[in-house]
Amino acid sequence: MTSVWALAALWLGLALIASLLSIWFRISTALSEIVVGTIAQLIIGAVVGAAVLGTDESWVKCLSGIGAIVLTFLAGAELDPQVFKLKWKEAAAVGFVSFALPFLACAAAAHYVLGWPVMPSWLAGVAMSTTSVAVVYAVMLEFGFNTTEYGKTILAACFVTDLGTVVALGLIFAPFTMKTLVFLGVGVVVFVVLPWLTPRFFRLYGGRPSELETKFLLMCLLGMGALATWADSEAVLPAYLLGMVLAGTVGKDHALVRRLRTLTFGLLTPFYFIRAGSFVSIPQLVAAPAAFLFFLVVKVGAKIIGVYPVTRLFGSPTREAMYTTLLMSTGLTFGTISALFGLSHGIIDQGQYSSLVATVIASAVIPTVIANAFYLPHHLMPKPQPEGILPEHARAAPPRPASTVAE
Amino acid sequence: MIPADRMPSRPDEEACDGTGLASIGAVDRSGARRVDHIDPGRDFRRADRNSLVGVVAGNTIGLTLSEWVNFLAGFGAILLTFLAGTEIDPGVARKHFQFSLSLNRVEQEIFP
Repeated sequence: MTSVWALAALWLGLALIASLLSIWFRISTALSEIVVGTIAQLIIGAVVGAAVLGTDESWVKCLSGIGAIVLTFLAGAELDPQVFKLKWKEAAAVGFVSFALPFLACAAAAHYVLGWPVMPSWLAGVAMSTTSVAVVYAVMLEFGFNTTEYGKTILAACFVTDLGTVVALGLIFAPFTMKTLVFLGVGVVVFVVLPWLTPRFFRLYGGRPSELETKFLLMCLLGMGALATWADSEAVLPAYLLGMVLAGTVGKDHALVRRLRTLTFGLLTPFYFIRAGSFVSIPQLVAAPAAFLFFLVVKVGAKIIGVYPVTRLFGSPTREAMYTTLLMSTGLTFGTISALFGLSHGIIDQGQYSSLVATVIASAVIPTVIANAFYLPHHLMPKPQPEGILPEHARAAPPRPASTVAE
Repeated sequence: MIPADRMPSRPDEEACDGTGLASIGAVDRSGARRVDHIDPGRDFRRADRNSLVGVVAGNTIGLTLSEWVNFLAGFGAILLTFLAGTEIDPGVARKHFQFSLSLNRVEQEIFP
């Protein structure tokens, strides 16, 4: 196990460096982890060898995958049903246009400008249309927007965009089958039963040192994730839906959410974000930057043309609208998943894959840096609490008896 | 009997097996933790239950010990032992040091 512990210490050391960088440079931890992953792969790859970072080790993949799933679940659990009822039109409109325009624009640009064949062009459109729930949620959490109506609306819009991506990927490349129907059928039952069952189950058996709540939620998330991948869908999709349906119960249990965040941000997501960053090959990008830069410009341009007017239409001031637009321009999970799907099914080649993945990961960093540097809507940030009282997004609630789980 | 593919490949990997019971047992042996916060009986019962479920599952549905399972198990052992260490109250440890030492020696004699 020596090599495993050494490798784990290396990854968590990188995560620590990323966290310090994010504090010093006032950037999102998710972004600094991605950048640290890219630079670490470059330096370690050049000095010792590309395999040293062990991105393909099964336990690194495991932690990274669970990180993406739990992070998406937590993002879904932030959705306040009341806010969603109030703002669903805005979330649906922003989410839909954030998917549709970049999808069509990037597919057309790949085909007509870069000369890619039809199917690779569609795949490029799908990969570029995504918005990263993971990045957006991490940013929301750091600035406290996750507790505001504004933040909850953006998170709901992200879900709509990613739903569009999954549907497009399924319709174009992996036609829906009986497996899809089974997945949907089981999903409906689970999503109806869980909001009823979970609070009762937690009230009966929760609040003990065995952390039954975490085990139960992880079992549901990973079980539904397995079913989703079996049905050729994505594991993070049911995770988001589970988060949504449990937002009114689990989402209101601040102590539980806080403990899940410790697990997620302390252990799991560093592996997810650093691994994502390590996939970017800087030498390849420097050697052939055209496709990467082209897709990045088209993607962000299409998002701006599509999302900005819609947010303005719903009454957002200029600064806020631009912030929303840039956050909706981020991509990570679904973008890389789509690109990998294309590569593994022979739809795109290695060069096209590298360009797409690099663009997706760059789009996780560049729009967010610009948004936080120039368009941060300070007026929407939660007001500072009196000394000694932490804001809700950072609060560590005291130990709670089992009977206090909100139903 | 443990099947060959489920045996730890090296002696030092044995720490990955029976994680909960081994670590919680180690904590109890110290004899110096704050018993007002943790009930040893309950901890043993929980660890026992986990181990028992592992025995049954391993012999019925054939759980495989893949690399990531070994990692999580080992990591769990390290974290659990760390948490147990943080529970030790230096004052109580000093006060009951002789007792802990003698308890440990008796245990070594019984379970060498």
